[in-house]
Amino acid sequence: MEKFPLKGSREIAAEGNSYITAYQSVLKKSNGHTGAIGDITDTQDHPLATSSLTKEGNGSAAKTSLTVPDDDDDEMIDITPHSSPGDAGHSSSFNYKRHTSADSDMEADHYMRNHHHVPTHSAFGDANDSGMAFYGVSDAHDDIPGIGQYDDFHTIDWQRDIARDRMRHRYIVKKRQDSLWDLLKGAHDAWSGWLCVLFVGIAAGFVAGMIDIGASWMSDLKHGICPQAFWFNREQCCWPTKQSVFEEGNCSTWKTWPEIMGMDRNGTGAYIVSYFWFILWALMFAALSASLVRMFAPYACGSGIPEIKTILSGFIIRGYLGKWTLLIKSVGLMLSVSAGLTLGKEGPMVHIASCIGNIFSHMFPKYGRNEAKKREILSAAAAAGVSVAFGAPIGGVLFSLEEVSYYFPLKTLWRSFFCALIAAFVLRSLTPFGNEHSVLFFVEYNKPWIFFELIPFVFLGIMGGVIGTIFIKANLWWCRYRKFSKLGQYPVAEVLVVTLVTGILCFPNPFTRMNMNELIYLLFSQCSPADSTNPLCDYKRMNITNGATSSIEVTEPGPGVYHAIILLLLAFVFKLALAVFTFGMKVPAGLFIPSLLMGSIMGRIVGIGVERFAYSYPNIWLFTGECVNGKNLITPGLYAMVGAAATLGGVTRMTVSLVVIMFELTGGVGYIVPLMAAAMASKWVGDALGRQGIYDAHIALNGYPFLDSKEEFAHTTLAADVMQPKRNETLNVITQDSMTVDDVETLLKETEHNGYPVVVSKESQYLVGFVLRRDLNLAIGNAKRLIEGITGASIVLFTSASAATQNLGPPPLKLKKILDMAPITVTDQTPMETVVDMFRKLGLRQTLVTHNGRLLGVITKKDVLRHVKQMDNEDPNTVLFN
Amino acid sequence: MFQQENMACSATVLGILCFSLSVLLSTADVPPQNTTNPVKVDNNNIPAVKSPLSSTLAPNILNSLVQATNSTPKCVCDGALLPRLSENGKVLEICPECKCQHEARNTTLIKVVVIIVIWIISILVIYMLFLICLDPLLNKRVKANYQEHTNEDDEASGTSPPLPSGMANQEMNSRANVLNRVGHQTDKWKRQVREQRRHIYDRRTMLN
Repeated sequence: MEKFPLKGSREIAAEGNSYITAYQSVLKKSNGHTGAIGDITDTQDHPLATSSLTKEGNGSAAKTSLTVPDDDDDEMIDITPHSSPGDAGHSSSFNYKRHTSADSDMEADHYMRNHHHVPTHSAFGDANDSGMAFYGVSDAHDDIPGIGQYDDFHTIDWQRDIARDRMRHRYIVKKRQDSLWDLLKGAHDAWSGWLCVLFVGIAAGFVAGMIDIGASWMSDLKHGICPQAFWFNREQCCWPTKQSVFEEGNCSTWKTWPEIMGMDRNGTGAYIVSYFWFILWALMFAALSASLVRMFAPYACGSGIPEIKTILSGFIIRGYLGKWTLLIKSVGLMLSVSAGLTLGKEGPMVHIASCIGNIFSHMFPKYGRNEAKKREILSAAAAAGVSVAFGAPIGGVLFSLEEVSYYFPLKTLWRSFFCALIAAFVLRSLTPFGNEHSVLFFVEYNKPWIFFELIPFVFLGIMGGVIGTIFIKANLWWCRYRKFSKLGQYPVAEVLVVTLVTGILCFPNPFTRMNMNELIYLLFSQCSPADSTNPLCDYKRMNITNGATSSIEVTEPGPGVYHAIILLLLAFVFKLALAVFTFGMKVPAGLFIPSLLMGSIMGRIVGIGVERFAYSYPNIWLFTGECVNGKNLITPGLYAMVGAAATLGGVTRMTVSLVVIMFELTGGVGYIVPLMAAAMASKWVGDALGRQGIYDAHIALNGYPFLDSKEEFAHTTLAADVMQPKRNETLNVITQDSMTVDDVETLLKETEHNGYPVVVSKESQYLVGFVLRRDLNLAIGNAKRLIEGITGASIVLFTSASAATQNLGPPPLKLKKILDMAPITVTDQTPMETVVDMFRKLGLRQTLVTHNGRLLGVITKKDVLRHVKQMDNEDPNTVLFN
Repeated sequence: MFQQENMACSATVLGILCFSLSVLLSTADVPPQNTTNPVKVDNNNIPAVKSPLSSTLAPNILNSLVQATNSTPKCVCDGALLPRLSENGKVLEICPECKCQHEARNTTLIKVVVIIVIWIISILVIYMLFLICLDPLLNKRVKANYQEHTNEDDEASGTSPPLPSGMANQEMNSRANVLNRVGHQTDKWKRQVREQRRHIYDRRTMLN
C-alpha cells in the first residue's frame, strides 16, 4: 500500500488544475447515464462526511467512483471521496494528518488516487465544468456578477459565505507557489484583516476626535463665544485658567451673548438674553440635525445599536453603513449633542465606527464581497466605537463581545482588541478633552471603601434596575405611540418641540444648564478643600491636625449641599422624562450618557446621605475601626459612579463590559467589586421586572429578524409544524434536469420564495440541492445575454452535462455552479428546539425538511422567527423581512 | 504618526495648575495630604503660573502671602522637578506644597477641526437648500424636455435620433458622459434616500 500522501498529493498537484482540495462528491447513476455532483463539503472541516465512504474500490478509472448498489429501485446513489489535486502546501499537511490518524477509510481514496492518477475533476466529465463545479468558487463569480451578494432586508447564509471564503483561501494558497506576485498576493490576503482593522481604528479615532472637538465647541456656542479665536470653547478660551462650570465671571476673554450685545454680564436682563440665546441656538442645532438626517440619510437617526446588532446577526440593510450615513451621523451627532438634548454620543459612535468598518472593508474584496467575513470587521469596528466613545478600549472589546456581536471567534476578539487599541491611541494623540486622558471623566480616587458600604451599593444597584426598567417601559410605550400614531408624521417638529422643552426646563437649573458630561464629571469627582464655587462642595472646612500633619478637610455638608440636592432631584426627574421622549427621535441619539447621568445623580444623593450618616454617627458599630475622628469616611463621588453603572446596567442589561467600561472611564480600578455588586443587582432586578434590555426591546419593537441567542426555546413543537408549505399546499421545487428556462421563469414569477430546492424529479422528490432566487435570476439573465442559443425552451440543468441532453433542441443552460449542494437538512420529526439552535449556532438562512429521505418542505429563518413570536403570544406579522 | 510630530512642533501650551493649600501654615517639612504626586513639567514651554486657588480660608491673605514670601512654597511648577537644596545642604522635597497638573492641548488642531466642521455643515446646508428649492425646478424642466423628446421619438417611430457628428460633438459627448454618470449616481442615491425615508418616516417599519 502506498501511503505517501505528501508525495502523492504533490504529484497530483502537478498535474491537476482544480484547486479544490478535498470534497465529497455524490455520483448519481440513473437511467444509464452518469452525472456527478460536486459538493462543497470539505473533509477537513467535516470529518464525519468522509466516514460514509465505502471501502470497496472498484478501480473504475473512468468514473473514479466507488459504486454501492442501492436498495432503492429507481436509482443508485454512489458516494465517493475525492481528494482533488491542488493546493499542495495546504492539502499535503492535512492529508498527512488524516493518514497519521490512521483513518482506514481514507486509504481507498489514496489508493485510488495514487494508482490511477486520475485527476478528480474528470469525474465530472466536462472539462469546462471542472473549474466551477463547486458552488461558491471565487472564479465562478467572475462570470456572473452579483452572485454571493444579497438583496436588501435579507438574511445572510453564514455557512455558505464561510464556505465561499474557504474556497477562496484555498485558491490563494494554491496559487502562492506559482509566482512571486501570487506569493505577495497571498501575503496581502493573509494580513488584510489586520490591515483593515488598523485603518478602521485610525479612522474611527480621527472621526471621534473631530466629533468631540466639534461638539464641545458647539455646545459652548449656546452660552457665548471667544472673540479672539472663535474656534475655542470656553475652557480653551480661558486657558489655562481652570474655569468652574458654575461661574462665568472671572474669564475676560470669553464673551457671553449678553456681553456681546453690550449688556452687563450679570443681572436680570442678561439672564433673559442668555436664556433666549440658549434656546435659540439649541433650536437651530436641533433643526439642522433633524433636517440633515431627513434630507440626506434617514438611516442616521437613533442610536443604531439595535440595528448593528441585527446586522451583525446576519441581516442586510443596504445603506445603513454607507458613506452618507457616516457623514450625516457624525455631523448630526455633533449638532444634536450641542443642542443640549438629553442624549449621548456613545451609541451613535458605535454606528459611526461600524460605518467606517464597512467602508474600509470594501477596500479588501475578501471582506467587502463576503457578508459573513465583513461581519468580523464590523465586530472589531464596534469595539473601536466604544473604545473611542469612552476612551475604554478593553470595555469596547467586551461590549462588542457581550452586547453587539453575534458571531465572535477568537480571531475577531484579537482583531477587535487591536482595532480598539489603535482607535484609542489615535484619539489619545488628538487629546480632544484637553487633558492627558482620553476618557471623558477621569477621576482619581485613592480612598478605600469599607465593607459596610456594599449595602448602599447593592441598594444603588436595585434602584438602577428599577430606573432602567421604568425607562425602558416608558420609552417603548412612547416609541410605540410614535410608530402607530400621527406623531410619526412630524419628525422634525417633534425634535423641535422636545428641544424647546428641554431648553426651557434645563436653563434655569445650573446643573442641567451645563453639558451632561460636565455634570457627570462633577458628580463623580471628589470635593477638594479648594473647591468653593461648586454648591455640591459646600462643606464645612476644618483644619485637622493629626500628629505632625495638619490639613484642611471637608467635613460636614453645609446648606449649599442640601440646596444642590433639591436641584439635582429636579434635574433627575427632568432628565428621566426628557430621555424617555428623546431616545427614538429622528436625530442621532445615544442613551449611555443620559442613563449614566441619571444614575450618578441618584448615586450622589445616596452618597451624601450615607456620608452625613457616617459623619453623624462615627462610632456606630458599622464603622468601628474605620473612622478617624472628624474625617470624612465616605466618598459621595464613588456612589455616583456606582449609581451610574447600576442605571446603565439596568437600561442595557450589560454586566462585564459595563464594569470594565466604568473603571476604565474613571480610572478607579479599586472599585471593581462595588461596581460588580451594583451591576449584578441591577441586572437581577431589571430582569425580574422586565425581560428585555432597551436594545432587545427596540429590536422587538421594530421586528428585526434577530434570533436572540440569550433566550431559550422551550416549546415542544416539531419541524413539521413550522415548515412551509403547510398541509394541502404544494412545495415549489425545481427539477435538476427536466425544466426549461420558461418553466423556471414562470416559477419565479408566480412564487415569491427566496430559494428553491432542487430535486431529482417531481415524482421522486430526492433532494439535490438548494438554489437561491436571486442567483437563479442573475444566472438566467446573464446566460440570456452572453450565451448563444439559450432560449425559453432550453433545459435548465443542475447536473453536470451529460450525453443524453445534448442531442436535440437548444443548448442546455448549465446552472450547477449556483447550486448549493450542501443544504442543511433535518427530518420532519426534529424538535424545534434543535432547529432553533441550529439556526442560532450555524447562522442558517434556511433548512430543508425531509421525510423518509424525500423532500417535504423548507424552514426559513423567517418561519423560525415567526414561530418563536407566535409561541410567545406575540404578533408574528411584525417581523421585518422582504 | 504625523499628528504626533504635528503636536510636538505646534504651539502646545502648557497649563499648570497649582494648588497651594497650606501656604498659610507653611512649614516645608509637613506635606499636606492631598498634594501627592506632583509635577509633570515640560520646561521648554512657558509654564503658566496660577496663584493658588482660594480655599475658604481668606483667599486674599493667601494670595498676598504668596507674593510676599517668594520662597520655595511659591506655586511655580517651572523647574520644580529639578533637585533643589536648602540652605543647609539638605535636598528639598520636590514641590512639597503644590499640585501641578500637566495639561496639553493642540490649538492648531482645534482650529482646523472647527473650521472643517463649519465648512462641512455649511456645504451640507447649502446642498440641502439646493435640493429643496432649486432641484425640483430644474428637474421639472429636464423632465419636460425629456418627455418632449420621447414624444418626438414616438412620432418618428423607428427612426433613430440623428447621430452627433464631428470631433467637437464627441468631446462634448464624453463630457456629457461624465456628467451623465454623475447624474446617474446622484439619481441612484436620491432613490435610495427616498426609499430610506419611506421606510422610516412613512411606513415606520424601522428605527422607531
